[in-house]
Amino acid sequence: MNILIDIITYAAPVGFACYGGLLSEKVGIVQISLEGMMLIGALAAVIATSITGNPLIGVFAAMACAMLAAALHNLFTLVMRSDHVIVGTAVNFLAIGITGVLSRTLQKSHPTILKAQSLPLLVSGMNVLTMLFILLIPALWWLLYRTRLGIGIAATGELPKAVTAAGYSVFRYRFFSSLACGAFCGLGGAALSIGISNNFTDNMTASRGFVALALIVVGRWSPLWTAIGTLAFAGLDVFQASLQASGNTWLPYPILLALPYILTLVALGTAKASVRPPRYLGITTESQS
Amino acid sequence: MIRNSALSLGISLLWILIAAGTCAGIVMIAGASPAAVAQALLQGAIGTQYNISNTLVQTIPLLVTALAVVIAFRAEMFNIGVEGQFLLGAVLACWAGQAAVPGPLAIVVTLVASMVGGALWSLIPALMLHFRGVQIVLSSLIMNFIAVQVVAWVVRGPLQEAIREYPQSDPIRAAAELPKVISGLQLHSGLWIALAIALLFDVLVRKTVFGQHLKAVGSGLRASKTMGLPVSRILFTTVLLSGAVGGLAGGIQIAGVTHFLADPYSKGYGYTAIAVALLARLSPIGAIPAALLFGALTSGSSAAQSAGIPVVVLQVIQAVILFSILGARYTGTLLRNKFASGATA
Repeated sequence: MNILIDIITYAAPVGFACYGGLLSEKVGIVQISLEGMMLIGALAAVIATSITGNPLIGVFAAMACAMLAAALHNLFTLVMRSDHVIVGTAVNFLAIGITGVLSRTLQKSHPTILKAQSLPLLVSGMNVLTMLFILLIPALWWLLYRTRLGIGIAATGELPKAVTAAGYSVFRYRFFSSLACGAFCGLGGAALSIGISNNFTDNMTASRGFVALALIVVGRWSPLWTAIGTLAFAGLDVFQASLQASGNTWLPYPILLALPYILTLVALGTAKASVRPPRYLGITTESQS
Repeated sequence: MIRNSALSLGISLLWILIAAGTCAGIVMIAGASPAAVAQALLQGAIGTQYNISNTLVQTIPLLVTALAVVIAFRAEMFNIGVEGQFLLGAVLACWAGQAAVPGPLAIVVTLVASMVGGALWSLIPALMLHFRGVQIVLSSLIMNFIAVQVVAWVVRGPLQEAIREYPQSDPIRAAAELPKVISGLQLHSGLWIALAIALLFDVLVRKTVFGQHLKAVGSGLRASKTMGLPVSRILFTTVLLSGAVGGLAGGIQIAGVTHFLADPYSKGYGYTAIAVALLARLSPIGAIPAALLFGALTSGSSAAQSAGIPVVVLQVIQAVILFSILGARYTGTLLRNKFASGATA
């Protein structure tokens, strides 16, 4: 039981980034910047918690700050129609830079600001974010497959013309899905910095945002399968950590670390149904009134 | 006409001002003087002979990896695995560079080994695409994470230094090192290799049948198939070529700069390369100034550190420059459309 909680706790940060990336890719926006938005969320959560002493406020601050980054992404991809990959790369640079500068500057004036209390544990060792991560699996499934909003979101990435013809605004779907993506990434960052840990360190997301991008494909753009993939990935991580702790010698340590990625690759290669992203992924240059 | 160009000049200036203002603001938040930082950046990038050499040394891996990205992206093969191909190229170059190969052949063997390493690393995504339809953009990304661990493993295992103290390899033999351009400066002759590849790729994409094929496949897979083009062969060639060039970048870095392998090895060249290539609008020649810009920033930032600002400010400046260029392009397009519609009205 303890191991299961461990796995869920480690899966939550990547899982939230997956949910965000999923929503964004469904409407056709490539989000290379999941990583950067998580990093911004992680720092915002720590600072806000440290100032107010309330981790819940930290969670909301993380969402708000990551949404600001998403809004910047929107300004360039949706309004100025720039290439999504360049914009995403720029947002990542910005996130690494801003969090680095701010954390250093603030630590100079307030030495304890990067230490914050963690989210309190609720039932059976789970905090509010790990519970939310699990509860969101059915919620997102229902939203995406059983509501008018979800169908609109999927249609925006598949056939934006049809959305326009039906009298809906492609731009609005894209704008708000991408903002929601920011909010989810903020949650992911908070789940890392005040969920698993209780401080902020440079570049603490450590490529989790990129892993999330891969997991979305392994999960074939379905919230259920993506969450299962995320849990499996976290399971492998916990497994290799325990192997390492038990002093294993039969597998070199770096190979153990590579194991989750190798298995992700195998999962991609053996996925039976043809894996296909939303048709208009990365293309927001057509009219989107 | 005159008014038009004056206006676009004005808008470019406006964007430069916006970029400079934002950077200055960030620098002030970091608690340093913008003027001092700007001066340090400039000094660090082009101030002395040594600094110019350092700028070019930083430019070389960015240019070569960016060219690897350019050739793949032109066929819509989103190989974002250049980082991993760079690392595997470095691993094989380090291994081959230690082998007892006579005379000038040693350099050739080292660099060819790096190309083989990069190509083999890109072969896996290519095969996955061909047989399972897995998108390159994902498989190649995952291969990067595995490559990082491969480097971590070889410098603690097969390639670790003979005295086995640190996680790093022994240096390659002196014969396998790339010669310096000017003695006493770090700048090595990998510069000529990088420029040669840029020229070669320029001819390749503009003047050859292969270049035409790249364009055709890039603009429409199904149409290319219908036209009877050997699509699979073109894609394989493109991905392997891109991987080989990405690997070569790692080999050049081993043979020209570090001479040994350490963990971690790359400073994320393969990722920055994507921004460089897209900034150059996938033009092989355009990649030269784009890589130079990022090389100068990297070189300048180490000097800026002595002006009292953390090196991460560089990331902010890079981001602001990228955003400003995108913004300038957008306003440029707006302007052109306005004048075009004005002319027809």
